[in-house]
Amino acid sequence: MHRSPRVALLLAALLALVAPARAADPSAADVMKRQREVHRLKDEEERQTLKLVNKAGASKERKLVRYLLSGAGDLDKILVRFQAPRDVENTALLTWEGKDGNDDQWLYLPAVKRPKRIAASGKKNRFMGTDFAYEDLRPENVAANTYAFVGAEALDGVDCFVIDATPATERQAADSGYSRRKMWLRKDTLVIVKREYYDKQGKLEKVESHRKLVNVAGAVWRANEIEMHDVQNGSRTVITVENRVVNKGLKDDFFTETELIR
Amino acid sequence: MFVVVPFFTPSRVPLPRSRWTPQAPSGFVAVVDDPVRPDPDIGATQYAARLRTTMAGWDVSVSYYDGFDHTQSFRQSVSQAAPGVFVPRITPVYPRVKVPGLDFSTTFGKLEVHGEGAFRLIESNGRDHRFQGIAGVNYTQDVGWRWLDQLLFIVEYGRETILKRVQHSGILEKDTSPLVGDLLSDSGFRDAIVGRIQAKLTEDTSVKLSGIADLAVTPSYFIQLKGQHRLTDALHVEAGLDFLTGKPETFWGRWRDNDRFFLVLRYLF
Repeated sequence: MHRSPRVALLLAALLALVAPARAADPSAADVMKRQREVHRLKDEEERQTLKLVNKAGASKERKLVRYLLSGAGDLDKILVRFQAPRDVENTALLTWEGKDGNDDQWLYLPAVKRPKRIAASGKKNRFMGTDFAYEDLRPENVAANTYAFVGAEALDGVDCFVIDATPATERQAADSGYSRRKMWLRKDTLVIVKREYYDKQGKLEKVESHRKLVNVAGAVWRANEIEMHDVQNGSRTVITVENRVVNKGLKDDFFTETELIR
Repeated sequence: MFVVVPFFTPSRVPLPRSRWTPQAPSGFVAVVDDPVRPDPDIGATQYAARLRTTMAGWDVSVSYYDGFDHTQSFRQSVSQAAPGVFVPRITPVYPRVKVPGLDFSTTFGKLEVHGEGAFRLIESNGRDHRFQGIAGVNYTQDVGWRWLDQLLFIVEYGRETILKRVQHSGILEKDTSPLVGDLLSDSGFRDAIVGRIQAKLTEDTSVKLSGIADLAVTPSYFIQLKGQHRLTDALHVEAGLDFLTGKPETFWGRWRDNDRFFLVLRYLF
């Protein structure tokens, strides 16, 4: 990875903040909160290509654009719209993050021609045939999970925190498709580089890998390639970010039901 | 949101010999005119506006429509067929209506609750002011089996209430008319229960069973069983069965001979 002097300074400041916290025996939740804070942008727009590969190796491709607006109280608004192929073109999902994981979500299916509010149970369903569940596509919701350190490990030669996340309440456990998630965060940049998802029976279900990390603004890093591998059924989905624009000035009124149907 | 439609375009109605066109009872004789469309001038301009918001997890919107009903009403008069011989004369017309409405939706855990209602207030060519409303719930059950991913249940209740008759309108009663019963009715939701069970077997395959029970006056029913499968991203196939039951003079029963099997191949490009 290439680092500019400005980024190096920011990272040094970040590590200075982390180091005393570690000395004071910081909690995993503190690290996750810091991770969320450090990598927040005012807004971002990503054009992505999704490659869906089934167990037999047959593949399909989807194209989408994803918009995100950071809101007050650490709550984001996210709009995802499919652009290809033709049968899913203009299908869109709008999420307003809510406190304690109680999100508002609306799905727009062009065939129905009107946005539909979807219930919490829908969050664990897979998004448009990919290996990503709706809940996997949202930023880490620190308030909705309980975090615990399970160790430290080098991944691709880089030191990482290894943190377990479990739903914070029974309600969140019921809404989630997972019993727990295990995450690897780089210690230098606090970027999540790997996640393991465990099903309700505690068996490993999916592994998510973040690759081709790029510094997009200040101390903010993003992955230009994310792979979700369903180890139980053998399928995988690879998200490749083709283009990214950050802090372009997206407004609140862009993240509305009205925008979903455009 | 504000919409202006300067020109009126009526809904397509079934051709006279279509199997979906209600057949008059044998022995019933009348002169039926061509439909009278609104004049193509500024007076036929239609307007609609909608304001919506989300508050504390509730989606709420109010709307207003000032325009034409796109299905016909029937003005009745008498025509002299020969000296001393008079026959009923029916002229299809389009009612001008003002329609304030309201809708809402929210979720309670796995349950999605929604409803909408509108006051259909007649300006011209109508027989009565009505309130029409429908409300229901969706419940999604994640199954997660290999061949059954998810079940969706929908139950709704629709109701139509006559608020006030328009005096001397000259418009034929569409519902439960003498001789023709519900044959002219254009609403299957006067007192109706709507239900659907949809099984998403895989991401590409689903089966759904839908039904509408019209309980107004004499019950009649529409039931549809439909399967859908995505062969490729571009090629989809769907097949199903339609059942329409009830007495001949009821809303769905008038099409009782129209039970059908259908198979549709759709290619997207």
